[in-house]
Amino acid sequence: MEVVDIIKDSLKFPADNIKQLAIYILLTIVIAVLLFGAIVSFAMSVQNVAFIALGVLLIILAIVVYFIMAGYQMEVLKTGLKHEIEIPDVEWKGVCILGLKKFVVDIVYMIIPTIITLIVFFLTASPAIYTNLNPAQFSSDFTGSLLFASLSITLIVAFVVYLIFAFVQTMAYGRLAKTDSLGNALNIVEAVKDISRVGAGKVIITILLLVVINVLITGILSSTFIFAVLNIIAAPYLMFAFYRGNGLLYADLE
Amino acid sequence: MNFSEIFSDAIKYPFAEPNKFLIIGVIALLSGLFSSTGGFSSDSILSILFAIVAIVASLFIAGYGVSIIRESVGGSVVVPELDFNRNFVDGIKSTIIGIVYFIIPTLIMVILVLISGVAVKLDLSAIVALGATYLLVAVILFIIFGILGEIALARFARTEDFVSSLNIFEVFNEVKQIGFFNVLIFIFVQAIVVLVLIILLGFVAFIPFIGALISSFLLGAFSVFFINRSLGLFYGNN
Repeated sequence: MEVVDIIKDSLKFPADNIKQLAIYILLTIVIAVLLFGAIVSFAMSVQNVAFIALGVLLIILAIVVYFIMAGYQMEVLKTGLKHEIEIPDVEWKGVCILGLKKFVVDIVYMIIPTIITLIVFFLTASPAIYTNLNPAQFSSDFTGSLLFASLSITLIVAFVVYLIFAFVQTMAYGRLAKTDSLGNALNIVEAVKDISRVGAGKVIITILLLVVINVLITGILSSTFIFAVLNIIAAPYLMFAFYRGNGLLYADLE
Repeated sequence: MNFSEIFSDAIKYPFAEPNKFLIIGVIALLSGLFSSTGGFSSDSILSILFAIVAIVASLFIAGYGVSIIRESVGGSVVVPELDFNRNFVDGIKSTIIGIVYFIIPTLIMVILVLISGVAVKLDLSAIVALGATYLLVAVILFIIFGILGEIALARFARTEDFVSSLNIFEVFNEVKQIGFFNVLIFIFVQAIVVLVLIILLGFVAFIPFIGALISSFLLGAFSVFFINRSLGLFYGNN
């Protein structure tokens, strides 16, 4: 599917699935209420220790709902893979487990760039640290400029690494939705190869477009308080569009 | 017909016959105006008169809403005619249905609070816990009876049988058949659409003087057509 068609289909998709979108929005509200309740519970725990247990329970519930929402995102992706118009009625337990798997994928694809960034930081900062172990001297010109250089390099590397892994992550989502297997999704090497199989340019442009549209619309709405309320509807809508696009993009690998 | 089709139909429906849209909108506006200005009048007879006009107008609109549901359950695209007698009578009946399905949870909550209010200690955490529990129970009760009330209204519109729609058990079975969750999501989407409309019309209301009039006119007219049309289509589907 061509990039333009993918974008058009993705943006129209949530409008054809109002029921599922409404369920997702409801879940968003539920999570917000649960978290708010947990905060209140923890605040009340100074009065009565029992409130801590309630707070923990609410947080556990919130986590479960979060997994359900993540599973929903994967279900949306699946419809993109199969080019189906309607999201099937979800089976709660399966969706929750799927969401848990997605969560694991998210963690892995977040940890690796973080580790790389930390390594880069320590490598580049060590000359600065070793030239002068006395912290008071950090403001001296030489050490200062070394630190500045190390930070800039680290920042650039971090930006690039996170960006690359974000793209690979979209391929990993496709693998997860297609095979339902965590091992398959965590196969980073294969996921990277998937990018070249689909077409690196296509992947980059599609994902970039979807993200930019998302950020623009949510940003514009957030400028006014009144419009920010519309975000409750707009953000899930755009989220559905993103994962739909993700699925359509990956579908080319069939 | 799935949700998306139901709601796109319902959103376009108010504009199907602009004449009726205008008339309903004007009546809704008058009803609102008369009820608010009635309070300012010091002459009691005049304020009673204003109140009567406002009540009659809103009853009429409610009844017209019922006729919209009736047409939509059958799936027809016809926008019903305004029939004062029929609409007025239907309005009274539908309002009573609404009151019944609202009073029951209210009474339950009142009884609950009264019973347990006797035994509360003035311990902050107990009060908060109790208050939160009341809130939760109230929310759940009102949601459930809201669902039952909507389907009861649709049932009344379809069958024209006032008494059977007050039979909570039958309505409960109907809702169970459709699926509680389905009805809940349906009402939720209705609420979202109306909410979005209110937010957008909130800007229109900024126009000095007539802004508020225009936005309440548009809101009132649109809501009547949209809410009843979507309910009818949804109910007729199941």
